[in-house]
Amino acid sequence: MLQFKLVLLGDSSVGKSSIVHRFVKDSFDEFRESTIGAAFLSQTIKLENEPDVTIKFEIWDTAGQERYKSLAPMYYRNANAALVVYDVTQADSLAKARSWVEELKSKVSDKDLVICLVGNKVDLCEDGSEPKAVEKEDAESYAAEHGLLFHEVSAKSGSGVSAVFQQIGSKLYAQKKDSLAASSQQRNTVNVELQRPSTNDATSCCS
Amino acid sequence: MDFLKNQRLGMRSVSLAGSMRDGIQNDYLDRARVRVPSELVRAPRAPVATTSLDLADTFSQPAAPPIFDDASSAADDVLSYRSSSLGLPGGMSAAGLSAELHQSMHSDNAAPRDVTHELPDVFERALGTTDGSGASDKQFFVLSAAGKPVFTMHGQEELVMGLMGIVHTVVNYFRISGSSLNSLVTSMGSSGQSTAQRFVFLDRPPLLLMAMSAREESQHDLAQQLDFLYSYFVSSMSRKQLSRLFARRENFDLRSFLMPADFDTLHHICDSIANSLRPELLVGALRCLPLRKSVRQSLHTLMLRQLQDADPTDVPKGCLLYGLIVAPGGQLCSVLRPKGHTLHTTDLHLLFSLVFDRFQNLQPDQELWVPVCFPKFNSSGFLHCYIKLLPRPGDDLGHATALPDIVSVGSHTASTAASRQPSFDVPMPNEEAAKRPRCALVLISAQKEGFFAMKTLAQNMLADLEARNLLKYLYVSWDTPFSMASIPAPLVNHFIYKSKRHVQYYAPPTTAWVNQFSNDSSSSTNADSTHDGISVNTKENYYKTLMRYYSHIRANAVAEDGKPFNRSTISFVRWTTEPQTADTNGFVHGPTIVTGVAWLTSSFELYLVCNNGETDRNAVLGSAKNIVSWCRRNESRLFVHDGAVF
Repeated sequence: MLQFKLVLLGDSSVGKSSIVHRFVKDSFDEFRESTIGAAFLSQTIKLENEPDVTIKFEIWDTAGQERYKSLAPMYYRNANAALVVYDVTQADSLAKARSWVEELKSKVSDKDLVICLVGNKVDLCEDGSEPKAVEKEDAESYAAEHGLLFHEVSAKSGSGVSAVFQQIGSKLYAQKKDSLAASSQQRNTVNVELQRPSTNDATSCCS
Repeated sequence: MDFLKNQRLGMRSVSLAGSMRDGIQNDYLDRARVRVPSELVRAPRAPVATTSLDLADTFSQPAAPPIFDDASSAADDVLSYRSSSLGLPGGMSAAGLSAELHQSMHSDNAAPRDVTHELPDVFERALGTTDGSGASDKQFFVLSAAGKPVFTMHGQEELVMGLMGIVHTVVNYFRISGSSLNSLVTSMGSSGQSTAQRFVFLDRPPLLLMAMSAREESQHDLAQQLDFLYSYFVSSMSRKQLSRLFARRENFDLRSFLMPADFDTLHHICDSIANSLRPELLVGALRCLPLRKSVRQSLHTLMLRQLQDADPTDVPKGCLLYGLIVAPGGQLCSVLRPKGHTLHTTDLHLLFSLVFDRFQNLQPDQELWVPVCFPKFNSSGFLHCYIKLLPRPGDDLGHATALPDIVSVGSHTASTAASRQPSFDVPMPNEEAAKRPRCALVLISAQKEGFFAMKTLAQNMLADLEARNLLKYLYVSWDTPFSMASIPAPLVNHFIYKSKRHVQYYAPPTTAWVNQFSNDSSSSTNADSTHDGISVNTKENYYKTLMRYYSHIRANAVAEDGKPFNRSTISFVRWTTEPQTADTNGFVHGPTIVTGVAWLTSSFELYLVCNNGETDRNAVLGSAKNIVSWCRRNESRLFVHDGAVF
């Protein structure tokens, strides 16, 4: 089993925790309290295109509020992937997402860091209750320009959420495969662990 | 209910040698002092007599040791009391009072009345509307020093802005004239209200806090409540950050900085102060989960062992500051702490309200890493709390299942589930089971990078807890609390026992009484019943009523500054109402007589409320004595003694 660390970043109340809960629990709570500090969760998936590969995501769900910004580096420092989330009905939140992307690009030395730009709350536009403030094409071209993965999702309906993690998982696995192959050529050891040994025990207490 | 009599009688409790007992009656009145609090004699229609006999120096007090060493000497204490007729010192215009008191002292001899389990509500509810207009018998305001609204308990900020402006002006007026305004009381009768409203102010620049209460709460109690509210602001952003925000611009709008969740938490705090049975603030103590001594000791040893045995590469030395196991409702089970350090009860109350009110949706497989400022520990810095719920044995929360097909949309919060106490054995549907209240493990570190160390430590502790079956004991203890029946205190409706040495209190569970109360009052109040039989509304009323009795009882035994009048005091409060006319069902209720007792000594405080109709003071004292000796006998079960010290 491969383990990857994933961090969620983005403005407050764009739905980071809701996306995580849709992914981990497949549930949605309309009245989720805003996160303070950060929550740590994990979820294991099988890759759809590589059925014998299981990936365990260790997820940092961070608080979006400005006052916790100074804590963010400790969450993204050792991450393998980052989900930068914005709210498709709030143009401001995309600006915030861009600043997160810039911060990640400048502060994280790991060139293999997978960044995925995620537009959440598309259900609000589909049922017409809110106008769409960020067009898909705009965000998509920004993502392409900066080499980001891109998805539009709805944590409420669940649409698109698992695809995000599938794609990130595949990409991380592809990278891993390359580096595994490279390292096994050099030395004959198989190092499944990533840069940083995980302190998370696979035999977790709550299973 | 209009005719409210409130008689108070403070008494000295001491250990006396048997030979002295007979002489007591005459000594009694040597230095009796009659005190008539002005707020209680204002009602034109409600004759209220209040006397307080300060008998501090009447008896010679055997020096320093606690009032009694064992349960049997407690009996001496109680026996030493004799009812006697009272004279009053001259020079006071208290002739009417004297007669009143005299009469009430002999009301014991009146015709026997029915004693019932119910606890009637004798308090006025004239102002009890919470329709959003801001009118209520309880209100909290928080505003900035510049007068900008920050928070209001009732009503929209926009609507109460004018009121806040007035508050700001009044407070500043007094500041200019060189005095600080702490409290003011309105006179009764204005705008049809029969109860006085007390306003208490707390000036903590850059914030100004105000409490209004028409529940006859004391200034000290209200100030305590305000201090707790203020502490929340500090805990969430630290005093340093708070003053920095306002240093830049005095008219900074704090509301824009606070999160919706901050307001939710503030409302939660106000609600728990105003409407629930949380005597933590009133008695200034912590609540513990009663546990067998051996179980508690095992918890302590286990936490200590895991800390000491931890691999220093995983858990660096000094990374952990405090470790706590807490049961739902903020009941402490076990504490791991460095030698010579304890956490202040206010800090722990804040932490517990964070864990159990704020994170109601926390799942057992979630781990939180939350920066919290502990105002009494260090008001300018943050500590970091690792928070994890402890799974119930039998929990099967699909931890490793990848994306199940069933989509369940759960949108309700756990607030109702958390307040219920489900039986341990009854199997529940998954959703329900997942919402049962759970104990929490909290590990506190000063290092913001300490998460993984705390996580490792927590995992080891949890594995050990499970291996030793301690989680099961923990949850069995939580699910099956002591019943009032196991406490030999007949005629007592409810009590609070505080052990001063532990700074912890014990109060029996209320479930049975809540049932009774709801049966009793369902005919008179328009309570919206819920399906589980206990209407939320009447339960809230019961808690409110009980808290109101307690705050009266306490206020009668302590001075304005919250300190007891004497080192040792027993004080009685009795509420009586006139017999009522037939109610809507045609039943005629007898007069309401509720007796409350506060017994304060240097080692414990006991507050109790008797069942309606109980008037025999000796019987009440007997029950009080029984409670005290029961609590002392079970001290190691009821309280956390030292915790695990490293």
